[in-house]
Amino acid sequence: MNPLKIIALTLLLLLPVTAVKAQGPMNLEKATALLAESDLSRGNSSGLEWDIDIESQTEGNTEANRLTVLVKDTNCLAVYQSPANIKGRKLLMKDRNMWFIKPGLSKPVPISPRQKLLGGASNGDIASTNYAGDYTIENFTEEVLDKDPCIVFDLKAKTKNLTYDRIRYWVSQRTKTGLKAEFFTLSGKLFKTAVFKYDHKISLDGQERPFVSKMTITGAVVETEKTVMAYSHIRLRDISASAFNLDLLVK
Amino acid sequence: MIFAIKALVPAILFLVFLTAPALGMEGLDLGFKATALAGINGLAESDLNPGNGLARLPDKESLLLLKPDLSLVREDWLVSVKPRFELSLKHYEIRGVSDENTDSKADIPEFMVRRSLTENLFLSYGRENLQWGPSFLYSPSNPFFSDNEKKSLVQDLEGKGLLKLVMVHDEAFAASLIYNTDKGAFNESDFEKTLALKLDYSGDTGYGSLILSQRDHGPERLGAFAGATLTDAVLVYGEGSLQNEDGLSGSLLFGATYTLESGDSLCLEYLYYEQGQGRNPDFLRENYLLVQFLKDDLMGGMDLDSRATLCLDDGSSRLYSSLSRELGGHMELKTAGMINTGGAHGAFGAYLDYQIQVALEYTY
Repeated sequence: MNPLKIIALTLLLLLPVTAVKAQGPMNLEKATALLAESDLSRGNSSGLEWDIDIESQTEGNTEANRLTVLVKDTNCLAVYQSPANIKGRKLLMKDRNMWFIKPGLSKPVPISPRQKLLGGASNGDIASTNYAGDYTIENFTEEVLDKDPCIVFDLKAKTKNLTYDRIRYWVSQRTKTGLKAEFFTLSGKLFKTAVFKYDHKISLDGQERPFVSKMTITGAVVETEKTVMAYSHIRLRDISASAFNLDLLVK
Repeated sequence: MIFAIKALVPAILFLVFLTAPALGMEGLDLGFKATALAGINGLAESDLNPGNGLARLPDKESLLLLKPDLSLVREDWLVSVKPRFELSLKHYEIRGVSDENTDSKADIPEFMVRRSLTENLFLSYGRENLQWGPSFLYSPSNPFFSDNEKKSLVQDLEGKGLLKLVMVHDEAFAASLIYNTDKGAFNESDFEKTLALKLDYSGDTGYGSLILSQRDHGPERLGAFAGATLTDAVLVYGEGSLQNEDGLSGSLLFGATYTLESGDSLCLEYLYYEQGQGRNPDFLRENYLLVQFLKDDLMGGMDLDSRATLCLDDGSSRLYSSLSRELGGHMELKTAGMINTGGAHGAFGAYLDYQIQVALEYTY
């Protein structure tokens, strides 16, 4: 047999093995580290502030809102800036506890993670992500997404009170950022997809990192429903615990 | 003359709002709402208000409310002022005689001056309507305010004088020392100054608070509330109080909220109010049930709040529904309707059989 044919045949036979063993160099420990690093580019850091412009297109209607978000570890405070009739409303998230504060309401109202924010965006979408801490990696594979080699994670929520029970998450091995996510309900139904862009840069622990600039959410049931969250004015801040104190926020 | 001065003040404030950014008043946050409201009250024929001679409630009313909110943050200081200006036209039917009355009112129901003594220690004084706790129906743990909800679609709640020291230990623990110095605009003939210590905890999925309070010449009172996020859709909570005045008495409330996949929520609360039978005008009996449906997009669209409060002791009920719709980024249309069942001798029907309100609100 032609030696070239032997080599080609050998390669063909080894291909499935190679595909299975693709997980070899990327073991669970490295995969977890990659997932944790991707969280940094979506705000999982101590002391960050950013603005978010949310535009939602639903049934031919477009709604737009602007928020300022303050994040420290698992705490998040979102303050509505526009339009005028919702300015001053606040959303406080202290880990899995959430409250909605509306000027004119007598007191903060506890709300659940399932409560929607605007269009396809949930409360959990505006906060920082902590997928590495909140989810278990059930499986991971390699896949190329838009010419970018990725690790695709199948994530399962560790507790029942997280916004999403299951997530399928594409993380670029090159940039170490999350590029795409599919979100599933408890019953396993896909209900929305998100893609991410990272045009910002921030300095964390002396290292420059890409930071999320846009999250586009598309509904799985009605694909014309689209919500775009544009991040801007990312800044590192020294934030005290009092910034997330409920009694001080209601004034 | 006085009315002219009262009318001039909102005009001056409005000019300040427009020019403050140009004057470089950093840290100044200004908000302004103008609201027009029309309402009809179906007055009950009851022994507590025969011929409407005691309560003298209007059967028809129109209001124009101007609500500027000013907040100034400068270094360690926060100053917040909420003056309110009201023009009203009210129609009365008192012992069969009709009367109409126009009135104007200007006051400051709420204000606060707060100083950050350190990064986590805050001292404030002001007139506030201080509310806390997770429940909708009633807040048993609150020794200052028994009223848990707004009675009017657009009028803000009145405040009481409160001196507060708030200490934030970390994200999980905080404590407040609160001294109620005066009754503000409340008509409470038995008002007593009250001192309270509030201890707060916020964990991963739950939170809770303990409130110890003492009136000047009254008994010590222990209040508490706690809540937990069980799943992404289910919240549970409880709230209660205990005091020793002519024997041990208290109130206890349990509640749960379930959020549907649409984002709408259903809430159920049960209240046992042992201090009932006339001690609190809002709770004349002991056992109440609340069922509430909220369709609240939080950021836009239409909001619907439907609530049924049932008195399990006498079968009476209060049915309430409010609808609000944002009209662009500055206007909001609000409507609300309320019906009390069970008659004038029921837990809710002492003064009103029904109420309908419509309001249009403009936000600058």
